[in-house]
Amino acid sequence: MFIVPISSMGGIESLKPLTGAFNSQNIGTEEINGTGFKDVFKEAIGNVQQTEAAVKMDAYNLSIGKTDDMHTMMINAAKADIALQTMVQLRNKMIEAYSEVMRINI
Amino acid sequence: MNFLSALNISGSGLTAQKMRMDIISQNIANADVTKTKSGGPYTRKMVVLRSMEGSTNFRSALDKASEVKAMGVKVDKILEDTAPFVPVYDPTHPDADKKGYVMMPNVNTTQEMVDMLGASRAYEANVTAFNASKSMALKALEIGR
Repeated sequence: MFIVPISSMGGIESLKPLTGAFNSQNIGTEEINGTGFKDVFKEAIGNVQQTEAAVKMDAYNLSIGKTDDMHTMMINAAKADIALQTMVQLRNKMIEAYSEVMRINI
Repeated sequence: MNFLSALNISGSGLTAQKMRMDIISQNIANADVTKTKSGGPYTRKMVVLRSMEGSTNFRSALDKASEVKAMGVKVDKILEDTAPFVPVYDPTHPDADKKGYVMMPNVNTTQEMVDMLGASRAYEANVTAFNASKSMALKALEIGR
């Protein structure tokens, strides 16, 4: 009868690299690629400004009698409303994320 | 600004129906006009609508290239009704011919009223579709709140 001997635990060696992981260079220095939150937020603000300007222009044109269709102004007003709501929601998310990060115990 | 193309589609519908309404008003207003610039009595006008998909201007080609599937509607042309004018016997009328008949426009006011009803309801339908897509967009902002 042949009894297979218990082999030694080989897992300890593989843990070694972990000690070197914390002083490695690649933490925090990586460049973030793609569009960041800042760009998205900037675009949202740009949308709000653009749509508000369109509404102002429509109201002016309507008041001086240059155009006679009410619905164009109302459509642009609705767009401005949606753009503003989107911007507000984005801001809420940003503030929420920021305060969540600030709540981290050190 | 193209974050909501559905709004623009409804907007084009509104513009088209308003144009229809304008032409119907013009027909009703001119229903008794016996003398126009071109000579004869007023001829009834009709609006022909067309989907924006088939147009071949630069903007639509650009939209097609950028995969924007915004297929609104636009006024293609305004046709004149070829129905004959209605002769009315009125010898005292300044535009009456030698036999005393005046040619009145081929505008049927009842038909115009029916068309007006159709244009009005179509306008309302476009507004409803517009409001629905707007409330959908605003509802989407409530996700995860």
